[in-house]
Amino acid sequence: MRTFFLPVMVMFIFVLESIIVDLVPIPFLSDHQVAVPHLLLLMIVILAAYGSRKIAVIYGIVFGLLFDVVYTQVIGIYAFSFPTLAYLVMQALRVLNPNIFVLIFLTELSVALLEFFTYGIYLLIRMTAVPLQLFTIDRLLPTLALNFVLACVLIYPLKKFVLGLKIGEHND
Amino acid sequence: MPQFFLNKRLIVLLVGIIILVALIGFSLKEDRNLSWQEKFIQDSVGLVQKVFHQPAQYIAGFFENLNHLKNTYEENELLRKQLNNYIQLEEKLQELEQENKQLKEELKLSADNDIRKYKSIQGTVIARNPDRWHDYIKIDKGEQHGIKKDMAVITAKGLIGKVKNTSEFTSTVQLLSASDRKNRISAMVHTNNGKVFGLIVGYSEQENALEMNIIESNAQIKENQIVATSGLGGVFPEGLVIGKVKKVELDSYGLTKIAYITPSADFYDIDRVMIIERVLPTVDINQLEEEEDS
Repeated sequence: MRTFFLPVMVMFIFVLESIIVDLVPIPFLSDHQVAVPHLLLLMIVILAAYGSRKIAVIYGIVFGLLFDVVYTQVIGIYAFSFPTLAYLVMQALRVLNPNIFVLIFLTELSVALLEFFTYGIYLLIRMTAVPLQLFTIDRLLPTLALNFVLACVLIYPLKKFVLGLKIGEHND
Repeated sequence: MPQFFLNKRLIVLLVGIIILVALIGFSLKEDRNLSWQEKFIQDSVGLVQKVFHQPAQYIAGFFENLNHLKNTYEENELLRKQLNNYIQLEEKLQELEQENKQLKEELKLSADNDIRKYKSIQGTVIARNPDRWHDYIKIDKGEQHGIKKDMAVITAKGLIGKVKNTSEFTSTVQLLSASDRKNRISAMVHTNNGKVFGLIVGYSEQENALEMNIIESNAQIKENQIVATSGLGGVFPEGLVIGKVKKVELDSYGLTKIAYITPSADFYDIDRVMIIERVLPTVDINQLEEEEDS
């Protein structure tokens, strides 16, 4: 019964991401700077750390595909990168101790990887023509800053939520 | 070498990359309509989005109103001044409209074939693309409400974009600020000596303005002149306001002019939109070619 809450929660985060971008003005940003809240990625990182590895990868594929179909309309980019990042995070946590600081660091790292990956693909298929320098200043740095704040605020409650579901292989 | 093929992870990764490339190739096909699976996902997710987005919009609207309350007095003064002008303007408009009607009757122009006429469908925004690479918004009206691909979408302030694709109950709108070179709109500038036609070819990130190519290199275009759709592209009606000219430059070859246009609509604060259906039927180029062939 408890595992029923997980898809509802992830779906809520999926919708919330769009609502934040649409309705919440993000402070300290100039006109052409863009900050993207990667809440879904944060949730998948936490699932990989505290839930089970299988569930993290499956949720990565399903919600990545949903993200592609509903929002970006270029199918494949997020459906590929979410599970890959979940897998990489799990590999990293084999050597690292999963405390909150390590998780914040891993989230930032996966956000940066995701941004570079999407930028690379869009550059390749000519959906964007932004030069690398502009991309770094106008998009990557604000996004990393925003996700740092989001991760600091949300990691603890989301960790409690995932551990409360008792799906993990290694409950601590 | 056999060990190379036994590595399960590597094979999964390779298969993943192959599927990725195939799917991207599939979704980049020109003039692709959504498959029924995608339509089904769009519709069912759209339902969830609608449930969450509307209360969120009320809350955001409440905070916005609080912000507006701060400078109500100054705004009120300004509006009172403008209201006097407005009444005069309205009188003049009525006069001109009547004159226009009379002249048209004298010329026996029928009103049905007017390229300016349109029907509008009201819609509400239910989502926005969170990865901000493409500026897409999703609205709560779809094929069932009569929306078709490539229709113009406006707010009260002006043109914001066109319908990119539709599902049964929702549709995706590509905003003018999206950096898509295929997103071209036939437009015109109202100058002192008549209309000057051109083509809006995209959004310039550096200028924060729309880029418009004008072929007449001796056209007298000045700042603050109004730009509207020309209706010559075949899908949009004539006369939807796009924005004002910000500055004019010669292009790198010195043959055509590039006008930068500040859009009159706000692309970030969009709540309610109108989808525009032109009354004059659209000419299908493919059909024309077939007729010419036969």
